[in-house]
Amino acid sequence: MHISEGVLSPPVLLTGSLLSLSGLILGLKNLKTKKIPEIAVLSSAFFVASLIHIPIGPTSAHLVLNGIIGLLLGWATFPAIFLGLLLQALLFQFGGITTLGVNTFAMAFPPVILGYIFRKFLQKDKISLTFIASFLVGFLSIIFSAILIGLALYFTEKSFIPAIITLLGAHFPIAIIEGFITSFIVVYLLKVKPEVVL
Amino acid sequence: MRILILLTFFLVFFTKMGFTHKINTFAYREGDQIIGEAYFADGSPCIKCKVEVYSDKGVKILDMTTDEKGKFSFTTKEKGSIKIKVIAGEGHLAECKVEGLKNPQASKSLESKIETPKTEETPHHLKLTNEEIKIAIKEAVSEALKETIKPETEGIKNLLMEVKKDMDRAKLHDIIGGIGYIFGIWGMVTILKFRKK
Repeated sequence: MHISEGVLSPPVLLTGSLLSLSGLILGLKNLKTKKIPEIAVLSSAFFVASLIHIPIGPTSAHLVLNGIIGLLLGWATFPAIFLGLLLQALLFQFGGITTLGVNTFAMAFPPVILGYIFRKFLQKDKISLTFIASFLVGFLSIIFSAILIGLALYFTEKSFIPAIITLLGAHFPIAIIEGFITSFIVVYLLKVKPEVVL
Repeated sequence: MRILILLTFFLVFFTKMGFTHKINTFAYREGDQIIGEAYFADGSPCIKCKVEVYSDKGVKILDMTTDEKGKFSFTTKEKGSIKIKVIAGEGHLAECKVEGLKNPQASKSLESKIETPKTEETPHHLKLTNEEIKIAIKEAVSEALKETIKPETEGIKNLLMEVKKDMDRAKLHDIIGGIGYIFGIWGMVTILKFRKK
């Protein structure tokens, strides 16, 4: 889910950068020192996860893990994902420096919002409810990220429907896998270290 | 710590499946022919990807797609450098540049080659001038030379392609280095936070 350099038009790039910048400022302002180790771990998990792809039919997709990051970090998701993407762009030329803003916003914004909506359903004594809620966060984060990427491509290429269909098709299986991974991690964390989640 | 262990487990499990779909392309020129290949970061071919060819001035020359092995080739009259764009959809794009022909003489000698058969038809033209003999010998030698070194250059080209692919592959030490950078940067943020207090 990385848009390469030279695909998007300047207005789209600028909009994405400004949106990401406001997200970054929000994330860094509300940063709690106690949370930083957690952010570092999740940031590097994000960095590695995007490098690993799973072949699905003719194409392949990779884990994004943005759902779990959004659920655990809130607005700090922006700096976490931004740093992961920056290093991917610098070390592997995945995405690109100019598209950093668009990519960051598309991957960080949906999980932040979904995290706020679903966080209250995470309860220690209701495991099945927690499981479903965190599955939805993981699943919907990928779907909405794919839609945002599709939108960014649409404003440049004006071919929204085919782009969004291929994007959603490619990311649907990944979204389900992400949903399960998010659920398992959240339920596990709730058992062993509930203060991280709640 | 436990998150880290859990995540490492997942990541190690999926690592066997290779690395992500960043796309790369590589092309070279052989006279009028351009031969190239497009592949993903793990070295797997980019099958049926759209290829766009642009001239030096940014004018689109032609459109094509790669074959089952991710390869593409075409002939062009363009003498200047050429830009090749490979588009894999979903915002994935790769670019590469092929240098222009350095010796325009090659095309000149081609013209003289076409003229020589004509001169042979009439007997009194059989007497070739010194200049023409020189050109003919040059032609024959260069032709023979090309023939002999072709298998060798082919091997070198394949090797180059492999090396290029290997360079584009995501490396384990880069990944580990990246994780180090992330921890380092967050560590610095922590220090700054404590300084403020």
